[in-house]
Amino acid sequence: MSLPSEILIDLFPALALIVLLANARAGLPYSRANRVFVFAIGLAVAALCFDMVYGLLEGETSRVAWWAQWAVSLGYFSTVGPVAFCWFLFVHGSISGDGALLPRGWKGIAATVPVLVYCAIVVAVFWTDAVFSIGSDIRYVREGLFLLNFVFGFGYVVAVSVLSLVKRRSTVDGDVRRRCKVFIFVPVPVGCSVIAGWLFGDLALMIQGIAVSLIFVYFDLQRERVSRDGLTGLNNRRRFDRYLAEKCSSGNGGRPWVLAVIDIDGFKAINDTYGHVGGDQVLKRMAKGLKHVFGRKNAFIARYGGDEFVVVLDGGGLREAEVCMEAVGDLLSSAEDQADRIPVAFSVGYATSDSNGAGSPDELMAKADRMMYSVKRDR
Amino acid sequence: MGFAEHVLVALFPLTLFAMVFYDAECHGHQGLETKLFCLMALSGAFAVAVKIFTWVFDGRIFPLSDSMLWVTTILYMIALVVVSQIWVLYVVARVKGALRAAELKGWLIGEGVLSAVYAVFVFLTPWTHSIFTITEANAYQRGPLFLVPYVFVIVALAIGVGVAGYGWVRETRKERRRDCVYLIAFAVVPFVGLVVQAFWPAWWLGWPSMALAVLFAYVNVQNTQIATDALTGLNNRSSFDRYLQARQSRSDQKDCWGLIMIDVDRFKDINDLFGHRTGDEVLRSVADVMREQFGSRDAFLARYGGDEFAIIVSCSGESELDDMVCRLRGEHVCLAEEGGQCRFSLSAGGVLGTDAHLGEEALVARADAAMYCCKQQRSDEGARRSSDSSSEKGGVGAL
Repeated sequence: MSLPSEILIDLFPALALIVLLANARAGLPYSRANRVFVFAIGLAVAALCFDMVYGLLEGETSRVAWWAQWAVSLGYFSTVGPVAFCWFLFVHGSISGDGALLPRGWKGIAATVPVLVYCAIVVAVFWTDAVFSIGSDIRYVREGLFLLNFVFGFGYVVAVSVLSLVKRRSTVDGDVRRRCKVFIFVPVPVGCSVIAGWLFGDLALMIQGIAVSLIFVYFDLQRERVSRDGLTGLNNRRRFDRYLAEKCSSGNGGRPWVLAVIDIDGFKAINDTYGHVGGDQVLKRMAKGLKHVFGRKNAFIARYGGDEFVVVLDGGGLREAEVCMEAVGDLLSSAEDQADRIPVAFSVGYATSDSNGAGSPDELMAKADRMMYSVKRDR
Repeated sequence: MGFAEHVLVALFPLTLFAMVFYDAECHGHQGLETKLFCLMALSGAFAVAVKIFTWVFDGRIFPLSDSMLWVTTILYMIALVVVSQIWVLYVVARVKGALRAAELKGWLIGEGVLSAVYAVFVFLTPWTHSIFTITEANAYQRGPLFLVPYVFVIVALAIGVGVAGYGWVRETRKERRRDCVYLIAFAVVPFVGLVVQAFWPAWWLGWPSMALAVLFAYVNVQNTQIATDALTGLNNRSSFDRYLQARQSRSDQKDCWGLIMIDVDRFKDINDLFGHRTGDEVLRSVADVMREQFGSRDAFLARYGGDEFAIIVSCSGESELDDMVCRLRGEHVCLAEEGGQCRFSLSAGGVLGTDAHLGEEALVARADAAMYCCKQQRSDEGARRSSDSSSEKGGVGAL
């Protein structure tokens, strides 16, 4: 390859990742999993830089260049492997309920052993030349254990996909399910780039594939923040408006669905009496109740405004929605939930999609709204 | 450069364009800006894909390979300029805050004419050999006017920068001005990339830098969406919390600022009587009132909750803050509904942020208390007035 191509092929993925890195530092919400993810992006940038320097050094003949090449190759290996491990930690932290980065007990140990072995092999390269060696023409030569390390790295990625697949089947939490779906497909760009590199003549393109995967996942993290209400963790108004518009225009494949508008009774008074902290708590409890009851169903839950929530129950009838809302009411007035002593009551209005098309989102909202207010006035 | 090499370099920008397009198309906010943005990413991906096709035929001789090279290269030359024209439209839409394509009519016509002239010029290349030519060995070769497409794209970028700069000068609102600065910044990378590529063709920087700018712009749009409330366009609760915390932790004796809480009087009634859509309209008007009054100041405007708004504003002292609060209390939002006009007043209360070393919650609670004080007075007055049976025109009491 010519020199410009050697540089360009690494430079732009690195720059794209740097854009994300700067952005993540400024705004990604703090969690251990997210920190690991940002660290993984940093490692990938480093690996791309090593790859770039490697390309620059090719063709030199001095002794210094030989050592530099050796150091760069070592740097490449010691960053690429840990990216895969960080990926594993990030996904586990994102989909396990408690946010733990590693599974507990022997599973955790089993998950750490490969990366330790990998690191040991890479460090030992100095004496053994087991993974690679630098030829006298300052070219990188693969050695016996190269494939082993490759397998370790890819092993983590495949393990993550399997983990996500299993979790997706077992969990009822809609957010986790959606996230798992993204994680399952992450190895695809990496795999494709490896195959493409192999087809185009022996090229190491894996790191570019990793960059694409990381960007893909970063988009997903951003997307989640765009459509999420910060306080309750439900979908926000922006997301709901889009969802409802799509639902109304698509006709939902002929299946019936119900829109429920929920308004907390006397929320102003709660805010006045207990302050905003108390008000926030009530909103969170309401959100939790809705998630608990509707989480198992095919439902879309969102916070519409200050103290208003909306639920779209897909494939269910009015009766089912009413039963669910009663369950939410029972949950909120149950003994254990009353511990903080702010009583919560709410009013609900429903609108159903009729058989001859659903009507416009505005009409549906207005209909449910009217019903909700008439219920409220009757109290 | 060989074919494989070309493709490897082009693959990343192609993937990036495609990813941005997919994400914006499937998950972005619906509106003119997003549509233009999607179109830009899509045409970018298309242009790179066509470019890759030209390399398939470049320097190879097989049946029809020469005509295919002509066709793909001409297509590429046009796609290149289309992308830059969409960029200009996107910048104009953002700066003007346009919601419908009709608002960009003048620009659409101007750019359409310009592109048409350029397209004719490109279509004539097989006869004029002006921009490029194809040699005996079926290889692409730059013509004497090879700079024309580059100039077109660079001029388009420059127009975008000019529009954003004009917006920056004209605009008084802080967040819009910042938007304009970003729009200028996005153009820098492709500009450098294109200049380098024009003079050193081996450095194929144009499209990768274009893709990078699109990524940069997209992430920026997402950031804005994350920080703002979709309905009013003000900052949302979580960015307010973060800002308040930051402001409190860095505040010193010299930095004097106040926190004002605002609430629409009897907002529940609006929702009750007219429904949510009207309520939304009122909230938007309140946001406009806030922008009008505080837009040019060093102020942070946020929607705090349902009908509550918060402002963090730099001021010289207690008296200035009181002035601002008084002016807000005098404001009202008008609502035209079924023939009549209703006026809704605003209650406001302010507290100095440097008053005492309060926590964030205590500070908000204090401002809230001041606001409720005002509200209480209002409703007492209202009660007195209605018992006096005074005929207030379309006042809140009329509800």
